[in-house]
Amino acid sequence: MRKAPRKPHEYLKTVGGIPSVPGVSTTKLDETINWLRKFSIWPVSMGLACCAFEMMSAGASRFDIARFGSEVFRASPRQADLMIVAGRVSWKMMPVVRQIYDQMAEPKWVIAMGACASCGGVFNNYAIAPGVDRILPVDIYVPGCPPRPEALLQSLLLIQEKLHKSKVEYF
Amino acid sequence: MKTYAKKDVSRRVMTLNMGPQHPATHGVLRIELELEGETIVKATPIIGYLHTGVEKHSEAKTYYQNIVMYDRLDYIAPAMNNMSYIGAVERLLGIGAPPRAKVIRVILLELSRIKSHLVWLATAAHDTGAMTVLLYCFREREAVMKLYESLSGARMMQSWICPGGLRGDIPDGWTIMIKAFLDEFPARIKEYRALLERNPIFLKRVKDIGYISREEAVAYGLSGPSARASGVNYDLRRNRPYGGYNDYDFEVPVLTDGCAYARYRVRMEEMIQARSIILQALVKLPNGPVRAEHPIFLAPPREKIHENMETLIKHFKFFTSGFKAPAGEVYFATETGKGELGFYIISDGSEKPYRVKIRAPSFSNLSILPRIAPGHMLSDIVAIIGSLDIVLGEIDR
Amino acid sequence: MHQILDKKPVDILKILMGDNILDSYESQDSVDVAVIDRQDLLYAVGLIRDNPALDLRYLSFITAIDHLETEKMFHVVYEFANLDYDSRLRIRIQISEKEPWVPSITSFYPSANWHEREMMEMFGIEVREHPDPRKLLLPDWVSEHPLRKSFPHGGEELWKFHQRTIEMFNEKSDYQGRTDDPWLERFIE
Repeated sequence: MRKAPRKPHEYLKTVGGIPSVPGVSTTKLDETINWLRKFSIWPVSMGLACCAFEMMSAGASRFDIARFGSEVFRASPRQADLMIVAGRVSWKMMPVVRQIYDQMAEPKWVIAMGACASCGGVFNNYAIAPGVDRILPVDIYVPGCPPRPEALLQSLLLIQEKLHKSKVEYF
Repeated sequence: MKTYAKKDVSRRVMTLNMGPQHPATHGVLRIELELEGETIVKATPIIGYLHTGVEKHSEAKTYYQNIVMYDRLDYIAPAMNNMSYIGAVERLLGIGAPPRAKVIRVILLELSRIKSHLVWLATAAHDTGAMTVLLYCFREREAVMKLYESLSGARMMQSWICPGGLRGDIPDGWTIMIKAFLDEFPARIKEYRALLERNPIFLKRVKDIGYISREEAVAYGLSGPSARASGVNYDLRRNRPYGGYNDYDFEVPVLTDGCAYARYRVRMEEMIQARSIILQALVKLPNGPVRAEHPIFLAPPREKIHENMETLIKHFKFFTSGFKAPAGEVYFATETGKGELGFYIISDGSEKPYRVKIRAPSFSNLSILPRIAPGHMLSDIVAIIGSLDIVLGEIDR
Repeated sequence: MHQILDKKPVDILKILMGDNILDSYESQDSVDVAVIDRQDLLYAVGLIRDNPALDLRYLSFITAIDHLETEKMFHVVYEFANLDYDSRLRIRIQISEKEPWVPSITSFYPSANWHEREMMEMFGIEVREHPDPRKLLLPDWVSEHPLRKSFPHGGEELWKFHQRTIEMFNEKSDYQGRTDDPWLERFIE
């Protein structure tokens, strides 16, 4: 059961129950930073194969991903927070994926979209790596071949929840 | 007085890498460019970043299990890959499909062609800067995917064509949905044309770019709309008809300009011709079964499984270990949205194919890039790749 | 049927080459296949392209078939077509495993460039005088030839092939990915 999202005035109350003065708000720094971060996660476009087209459909006008904060898919990894590995990863592509992941700045998250990025998918042969978690720490695995855009949107919401509960370390 | 040695500034070549992760290469394509200022001197495509080993993997699976894998080759128009493979298998086994299945297959193929050209238009226009067209084409694409989803449940990879016919019949009201989609399609095409063809920026980026002559097109193995824009009057649906295509009345657009704008015009016209083929097919849709019956090579119908035990055992053995195909070799090619997609299957008489070779159209279409790119500016190479319409899933297999 | 001479391309080739054609048959999709020897390949390809009676200027594909277990031979297949008159011809060459080489036909057909590169790396067949004999699809560190029948399809041997690559990556980067495989361990006790 998910709780209802907080109303604006609830952010003004403090932890100890001491009422706040209008115009001044006291809250935890963690909460504010997480709240700011989770509604503007920008993915880096790592669309490799068929799942890339469902990712593009999720970014198009019907299943709009911009309403959840991912306004643009950045081409440069230095400007992105989230890497959605969409598609089958071959061994030749693995060093490239790893290099792009290393170039992203902390904090960063990874979604393995589709069956091929999670576990190798339909293919069990010499050329496809059995899952991208061989070289990257994956946060969310999205099953499907290809997963529906709504599944990708749910995975983005799960990342937002994970972000909300995490502690701010790199600040 | 000091004298400085003069550097030779007349020719300085810079190597630039358009890497596998790039928003404008269509997939994971890497191009090594040698630039002199902004002019391209040499362009070498490096592929293989999506190599899937499909040809090797096909030798380990039965003929039926392979259908699912070939959907993922040209992932933009999945029904066409199906048809190519199933056509080859049907030739090998010597069976055919009933008339109703043939007409529905043509409808699925032409819908896939519309879908493939819409994606081409979206990405090629987006690369030249027209982002509105991207969102509009994806709106059309959602309408086509809704049709697919109501038929099979999957938006992209249906695998609905199987040897002997189709996997199942169309639901009620599907023809009405198609007609509704096709009724508003010409207005949409007019909208895209109005956005692009009267726009001087688009025309400047696309006219007289990437000229391919007719001899080059044939020598480099080009096929499909990229070749027809250079004057090669060859369309497999008309020259070597398959699947009942000789019953339909359609035109094949051929131009002689050979530039990127000609390729754009050929594809826009093909979308309109695909619409007219679907309308003709909807008129002549006959009644009847959608699956043929054969004692060895086709699965028994599902209703009979409940009646006796032998049919149940045969159904089980058919889908787990497969059927023994006759020995021989077949090459069957169809005209997809990108060109001639062919499957060369060699069978040695067992349940699994001995060798499957996939002749992908984008493989040959891309090999002409080192020949036509030199002399253009850096920003033109994006327009050239967009006009060639490549899919890396096919190239790398 | 060729409209000029009203003969099939394989018949015209038989007239031009005579006894050098070892065998010819029609495959199940009604395309004629001619089997010739490796030393006649360049001569035949020159005839196929330049002779106006044949004029097959479009190369569809080049591939190889591995029969090393049964016949100890590679078969190399070329398919040509004429787009104006719609005639097709397929040429098949048999080469033994002791001398696995074919001459390159890139000087006649530029589209053969990439097809031959792929054949070289997948089967290990050497294509002599190829202008650009680099790897096309496989990564540079793979030295085996995957499409040969001796290369494993799956199972433990393939897992060893994967393990080598994973260890190569883990040496260079600081994140150690998963090295276990729960699926495989289920079957190996």
